[in-house]
Amino acid sequence: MTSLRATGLVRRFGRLTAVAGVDLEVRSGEVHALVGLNGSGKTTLLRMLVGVLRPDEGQVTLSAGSAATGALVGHLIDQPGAYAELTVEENLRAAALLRGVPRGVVREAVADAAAAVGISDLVARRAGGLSLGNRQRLGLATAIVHRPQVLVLDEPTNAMDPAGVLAIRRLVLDRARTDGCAVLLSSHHLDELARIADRITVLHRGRVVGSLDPHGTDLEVALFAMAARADGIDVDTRVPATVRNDAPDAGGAR
Amino acid sequence: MSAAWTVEMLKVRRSPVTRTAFAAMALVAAFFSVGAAALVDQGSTDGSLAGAKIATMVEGTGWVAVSSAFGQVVAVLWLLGTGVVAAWTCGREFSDRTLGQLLALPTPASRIAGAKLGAVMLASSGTVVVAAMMALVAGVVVGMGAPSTDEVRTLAAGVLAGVASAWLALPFAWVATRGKGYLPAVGALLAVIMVSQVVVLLGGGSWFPWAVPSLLVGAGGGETAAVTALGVALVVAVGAGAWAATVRTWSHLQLA
Repeated sequence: MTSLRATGLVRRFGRLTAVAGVDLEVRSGEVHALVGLNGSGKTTLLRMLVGVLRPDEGQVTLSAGSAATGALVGHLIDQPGAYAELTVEENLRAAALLRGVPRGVVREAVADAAAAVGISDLVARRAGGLSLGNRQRLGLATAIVHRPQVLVLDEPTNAMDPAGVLAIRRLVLDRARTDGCAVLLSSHHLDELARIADRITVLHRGRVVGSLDPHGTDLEVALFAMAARADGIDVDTRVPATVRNDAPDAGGAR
Repeated sequence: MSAAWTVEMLKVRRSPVTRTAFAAMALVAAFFSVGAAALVDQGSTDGSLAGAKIATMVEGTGWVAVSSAFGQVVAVLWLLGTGVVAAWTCGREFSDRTLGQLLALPTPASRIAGAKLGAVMLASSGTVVVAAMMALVAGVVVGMGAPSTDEVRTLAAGVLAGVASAWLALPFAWVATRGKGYLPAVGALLAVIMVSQVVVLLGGGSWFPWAVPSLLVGAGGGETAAVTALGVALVVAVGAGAWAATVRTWSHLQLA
């Protein structure tokens, strides 16, 4: 049972501070959602959490005390990293080997991962010929092929049909509830997050500005209001959300 | 074989880029050298500009001509072809946005980079050996008879030139890594090829590493003897330095 903890994470790109001091914990067996408007720093934060981007300040640790490594962490950030010239099975085999899966159990791990995301019938197909949705499924299978204890997913249901969305929902819940995996995912589909998340953290301009109740109503409105308040803009959260004309700096809302 | 080697060898074997490049290199080297020698033997190079050009590239007749043409073609072709493959094998991870899947793994990125370069060298070196064998078979088929030991040794010098050219192509993997894609490396490769050709033509290539393979096989005419220990040392140093620099750069990569 492993949890992921980030403390004081900061990342700057030149004069832009993409992530400005974020503390975050993803507990074992928990589905933790990260939401925010475009450019809020979600992807930068996720990249630091999985270790593919070094923070300028702060640190990421696992409960075991080690830094986040690919042996314990699985991730799908940005677009799925599939090699077009390899088959689905070869892509998964390569991912398993590089993630430290013993050669003797690679075949079984590949079959399990493919089945978990519903692409068992596609293992002999070249990845270059897959639809966008199936490439996304392959990316997810790559992320879980080594049965990680922490799973970080950025927009995991991108380009997926309803069957794929259901499959991913089952997968995430199964990994968290049955295997005790700590799951952190980001998405703009708040209704989807409401179905599976235990906690929803809101990121805005690189800072955590609050949390949403997954069982609450009108999550989009609540998110927008939280972001606007963080910018010092007073908003009316009754549907439809509108910026009040008498609010200071209302014209500068972004 | 380590995980990184297994994966990178698999990618080299499956990729249309590497398959096409190495197949074309082998076919061109083998059949151009035998074809050019056969044309010269038959006197078919007289009376045309292309024929005259081929005649200047080929020294002697029979297997001597084959070895001469083979070495000259391989020295340039292996730098060009292996350079493209080396650039692609590192640069594609950026262009295809697969780099994120290779970082922060139990297999260090530096080991993956080493495997990439090793796989390219292995494939390129294997291809030049295959090309030489194809040239031998083709020469026998067109009626040149069996080559003598000296003629085989001359052909082997061409193979050595190919391996040296492949080794000299490794810096382009580093350029692709620094440039975050293969296009900057392809530009650098073309520039180096043009400069090395000019340097060889001017007869001053013994100190220019990328010209040494051409001198080794006599592309500089009388300059063959000018291949010096310094030149060979520079060839070794350029490849080794590129290998070390590429591995080091990969060990610090991040997905910014």
